[in-house]
Amino acid sequence: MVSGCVDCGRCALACPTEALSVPGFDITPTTSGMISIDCWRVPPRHSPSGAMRVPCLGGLSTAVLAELTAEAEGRPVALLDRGFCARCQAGGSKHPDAHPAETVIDAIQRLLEDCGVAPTTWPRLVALPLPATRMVKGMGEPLLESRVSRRALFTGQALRTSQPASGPRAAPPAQTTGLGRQRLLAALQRLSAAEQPLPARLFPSLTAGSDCADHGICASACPTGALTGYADDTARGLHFDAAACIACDLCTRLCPEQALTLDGSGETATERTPQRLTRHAIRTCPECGAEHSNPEPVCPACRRDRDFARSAFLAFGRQPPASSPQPDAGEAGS
Amino acid sequence: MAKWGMVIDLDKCTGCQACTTACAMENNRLPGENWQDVLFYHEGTYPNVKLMWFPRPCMHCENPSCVSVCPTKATYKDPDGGFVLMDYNKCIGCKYCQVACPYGVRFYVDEKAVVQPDIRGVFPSETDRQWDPPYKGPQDDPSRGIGIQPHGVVSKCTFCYHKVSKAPKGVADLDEDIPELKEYVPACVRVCAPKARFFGDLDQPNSNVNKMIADKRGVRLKDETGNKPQVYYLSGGATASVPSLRSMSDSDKG
Repeated sequence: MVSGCVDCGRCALACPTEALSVPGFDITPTTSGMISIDCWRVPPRHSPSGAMRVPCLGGLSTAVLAELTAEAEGRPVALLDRGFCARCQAGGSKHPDAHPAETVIDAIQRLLEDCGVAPTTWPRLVALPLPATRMVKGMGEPLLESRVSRRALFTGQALRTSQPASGPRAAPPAQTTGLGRQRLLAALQRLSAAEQPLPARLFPSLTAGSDCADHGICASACPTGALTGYADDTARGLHFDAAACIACDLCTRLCPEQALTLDGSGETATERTPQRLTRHAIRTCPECGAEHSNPEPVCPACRRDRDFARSAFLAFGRQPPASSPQPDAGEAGS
Repeated sequence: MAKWGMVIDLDKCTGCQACTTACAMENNRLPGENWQDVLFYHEGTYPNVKLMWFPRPCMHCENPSCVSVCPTKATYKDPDGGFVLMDYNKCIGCKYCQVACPYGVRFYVDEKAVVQPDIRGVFPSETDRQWDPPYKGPQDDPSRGIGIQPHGVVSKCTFCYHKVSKAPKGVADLDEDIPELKEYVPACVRVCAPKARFFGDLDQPNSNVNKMIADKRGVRLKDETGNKPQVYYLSGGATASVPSLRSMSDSDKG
């Protein structure tokens, strides 16, 4: 972290792959009394006894709030609004009209409502104003001048790239993707009445149209691993796990064929267990012998070369031979 | 200053791939990753099938889109001969140029080998180069993209810069039939058995290549992209001499 960081934890909240984590948000509720969450910038002596303290209320995730509600067993969870967020350097001053935790509270309240949890136990903001002069300073200085300039960043990257890689690459860290999502689902399941399914809004519906050409761009871009590619002996395609999907819409936006449709509103019924979304039979390219799953006979590389050569012959005013009485299967598939 | 260009007569090309092989030998290319290729494809469905082919080197454009997009200026237009060259020392392997090239003639070979088994395992390199073939070309100039391709960079046809740039000043055409010039002729041109390829200076009005382009209406591919290739293709006129084109031109007459 650069020295300009104020540990508010909102980067971790926004990160779809959960690659970032900020310490201070793993909190466990007190055993008795009201459950209240306070900000680090409130002096400890002003916090109610037993209050849990986090770096910033805006960094609390729905998973943490759902777990707290489940642990609280009926006691309300109060997020203390001290009224000085607008003057805090942790981004509050950028959005003075809303409390930083408002979006997350809205989301968790909607989910709890869908789960049939009584409104009295929902997490909520509780106003407990404190003069802004009491706000703790020194949670990090906005040392803008010490940040890496854009030019220096790229120059450093270019130098690193030009060096030959030495030694084996370090192993990637253990997989963390989807942990927060699993925690949210588990906590909501505990809160839900027995036998009642979780709200449909948690399981986005993704459908693939017939235009899908099995590029696999969507699967390679999916930040949570909800959409992955599979391959067996005869076919390959996409594998979708609605429970891991966060409806970020990246797959539908990146699809070059615009073949994917996503509905995150919960209105479309969907399978909640992992499913195979598409299936493309593997075939052998008649030109180069490569195995591919293109809808037409030739593989994508040969198709590109063929289209190039065909366009070149067209440049001489020559149409492709029209002598073939049968329709060209390759053309029909493209 | 010369502006070297190539003329390829499609009516003479027989698709023998001698140019491809010569390029692979000259530039120590990995199997299947040749800078110059003859594209083969089929038109129609069985039993009405025609085999078509099309030779495709780098076009060495006057206004190359690969140069425009290169973030590190690793690929550049050589001002002395009009070559489009690569500086392996500057390339960061981002592959923008591969996407930008309308002709598909840029090569990044650090992925799965096209031809199995992977020959890089047979002749492993101890340097940053892709492989260590038993025969290596005597020329090695990473700043111009000549020599065995290193890891993590994109490579491309050099128009045989290491030969052409040594040609005597002021020569209009590099013809492999002239004994004193044949060492300066690009490998693909020199080996072309049906003599479908010609190489010369496009800046000299009297050069043979300029005459052919004018007389036989040379065509630049994908001219609508504004790249202005320095490789011209000839086809048409009388009945095509290439069997694959003959019936097409016959039907054109009708």
